[in-house]
Amino acid sequence: MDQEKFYYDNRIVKYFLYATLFWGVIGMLVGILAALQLVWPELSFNTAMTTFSRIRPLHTNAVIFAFVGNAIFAGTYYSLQRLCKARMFSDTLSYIHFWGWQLIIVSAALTFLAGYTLSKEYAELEWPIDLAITIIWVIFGWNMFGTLLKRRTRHIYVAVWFYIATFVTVAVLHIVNSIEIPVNFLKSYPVFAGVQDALVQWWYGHNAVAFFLTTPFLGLMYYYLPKAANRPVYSYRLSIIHFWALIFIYIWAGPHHLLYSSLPDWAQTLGTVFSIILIAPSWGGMLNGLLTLRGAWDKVREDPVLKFFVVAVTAYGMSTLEGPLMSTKTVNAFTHFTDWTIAHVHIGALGWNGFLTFGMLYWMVPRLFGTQLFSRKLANTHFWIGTLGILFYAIPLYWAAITQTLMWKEFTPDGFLKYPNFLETVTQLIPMYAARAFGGLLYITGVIIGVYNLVKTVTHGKFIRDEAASAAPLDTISGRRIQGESRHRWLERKPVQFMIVSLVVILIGGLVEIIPTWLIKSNVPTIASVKPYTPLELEGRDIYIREGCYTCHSQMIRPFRSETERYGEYSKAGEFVYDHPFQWGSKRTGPDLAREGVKSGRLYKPDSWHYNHMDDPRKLNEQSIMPRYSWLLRNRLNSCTTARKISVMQKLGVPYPEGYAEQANDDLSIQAQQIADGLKSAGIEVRSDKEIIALIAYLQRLGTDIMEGR
Amino acid sequence: MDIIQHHLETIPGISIYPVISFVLFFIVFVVMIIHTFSIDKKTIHEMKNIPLEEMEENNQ
Ligand code: HEC
Repeated sequence: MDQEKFYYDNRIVKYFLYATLFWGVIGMLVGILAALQLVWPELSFNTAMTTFSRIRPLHTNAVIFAFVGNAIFAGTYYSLQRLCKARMFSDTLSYIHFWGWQLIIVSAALTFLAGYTLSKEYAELEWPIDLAITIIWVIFGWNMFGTLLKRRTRHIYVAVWFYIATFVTVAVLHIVNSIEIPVNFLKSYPVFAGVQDALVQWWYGHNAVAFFLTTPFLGLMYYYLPKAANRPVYSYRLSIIHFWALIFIYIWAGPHHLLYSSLPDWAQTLGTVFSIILIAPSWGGMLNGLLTLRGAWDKVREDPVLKFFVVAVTAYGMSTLEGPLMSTKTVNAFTHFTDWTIAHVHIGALGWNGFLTFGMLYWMVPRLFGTQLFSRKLANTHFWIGTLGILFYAIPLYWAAITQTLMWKEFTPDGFLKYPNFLETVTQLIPMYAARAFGGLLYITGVIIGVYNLVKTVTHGKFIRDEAASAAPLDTISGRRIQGESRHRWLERKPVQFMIVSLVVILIGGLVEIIPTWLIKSNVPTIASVKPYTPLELEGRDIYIREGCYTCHSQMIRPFRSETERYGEYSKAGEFVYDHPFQWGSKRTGPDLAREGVKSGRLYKPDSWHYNHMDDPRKLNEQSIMPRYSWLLRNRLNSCTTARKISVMQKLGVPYPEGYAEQANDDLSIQAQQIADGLKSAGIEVRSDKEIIALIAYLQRLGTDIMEGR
Repeated sequence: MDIIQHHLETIPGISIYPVISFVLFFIVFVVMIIHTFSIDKKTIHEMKNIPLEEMEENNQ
């Protein structure tokens, strides 16, 4: 057979690789700012854009979609071409993908800072950007399948299966979780509400971890680890089982984010059981990775690339054991809403994603530039500082989590909460938060050393833009199964059919999880006294969303005595039916606010207190770490879209009376005036059209509905 | 609260969902294992060496 000559496109790899480094440094710096803001709240600078609750989503999104995202694409574009023995299907698509993705990142950063957010974690982006993501993602898939169809190898190597599963699943997740109705160009409401919205969101959130932070990286592991060690993967059989078991099981486990919440019990149980089963394929994958290095440990001692890989794969093993443990109700009761979760994700992000990325970059850059790594010693320094950074990051947070959860749950012998003041449990943690910030600082120091090392490598080498290769073309064989070929073997050479089977596999889990919740819609126990928000409360709620209060406050009281004592009656599914989107939150840096407005409740505060507290929390609680939101006292409430918001809510099934939209603004003014008058009698002069008025209206409404019914 | 419980329990066939899930999972898993172990040694060897072969040919 004649050999065909062709060229690999290295330039697209280089682009994504530079973007990885660039956004990695930015994303981590923003993370350090967020960490420091929890120690010194003044660092929020009393400016909306730089306030913790806008910085945190910027950090998470930058790290996940900009740093890790670009790393996935760099790694995929390099390995896919080589595994297919073909250049990418279309250079044009490659570069549309690249620039499109960077544009999305920039618009994400700008809109987050400006307060445009859906408040659904890791899916905060507003609808036009969601749309852009869909288009760019399809372009990526198109390019990938085009390449697969013109490949010169028969069998599709297992790494590529992981890329394919990543592509289809992320597409499904993104689309389902982003079904929203626009109010205007940068504001929309998700079609789901309350329990349903929570379930869809965490089905998404969990699987974003699975199919954005895990499967693509497993694909990269199955390519780069054997390459760097120059030996094949330990067991190819195990990798096949690993693949199917992983993608099948992962999709079911989402509800483990909602244990003890108002989600139906059967769904919670499903989440727990599948999370536990998930240990098996995850550890199968980890062992497969580590055992690939058996008998080559002397190499690991020498080669920084392998060192990074070993720690990455070990971190993967740790987080995939810890995750299922956190999915059991017993452990979850202690870890949920605490810093444990933050420590857990950072073992994954810094260890698994970060270290695998840097290992891969150290391996790839010298090859792209036809040279040696500038300094092995610096790479080793990066490795050690980074590893220390991970430990310094995680250990204080585990410690903080244990300290705080025990304080939350401790009772005096007389049966009262030992620490009834929530703030006391926060103040304890400040030294740990400082240590965590130091850990982050160490980690990024390593990264900067890495960037320097790679830049030096680049300047010493000469970039091989188009790398020559040759291979025999595939002789066309029947698209159908040939004699003696098993179904799976056939599938392994048919990328499109392979994608469809993967799609079916993940849809089964998705549907079994989500369909029953749709059925629940008509069944979610409607509590007669639960009423839609008034127009002013709705506007206040949108301010709460815009400012990102959910990054520190939950609105979900779990049925534990320690919580009902502290916050009031536990939350019921029926209370959230008009919450588009839900605001349960996932982290309690401040107290739960689900019953904030209940007059007879433990947390109740008068309007004037809220007014002063939002202006400067430290005026009322000297040690508070909540940021100031004093612009809310100055900003005028924009009520131009109130009517439109009401009509969109009506479309979503919120039972406002017919024609209410026209009346909404009048009602809004009346309610606002009442609150302003109330504040006046408490000695606070404020015009009724300020944003703070709407926010107070919302806070005072929280949790009150079911009390009305009594 | 009883009302809530009652409604959830009366969604038609709710208890069957976890059971379906398990059966499905089990079938998929067993089929996968059987298939995987039926691949012959030579093919496995070829497949797992794919990433390494390419190096010999192209990276001179
Ligand atoms: C950095 C985390 C953080 C953010 C962001 C945050 N808070 Fe807080 N919040 C706290 C902490 C800590 C406390 C407890 C100390 C205090 O009262 O200031 C608190 C207390 C509160 C309380 C008083 C609860 C009570 O009754 O004791 C309210 C109300 C509140 N926050 C509302 C908000 C709103 C509204 C936003 C968004 C505009 C917000 N918070 C953003 C951390 C935060």
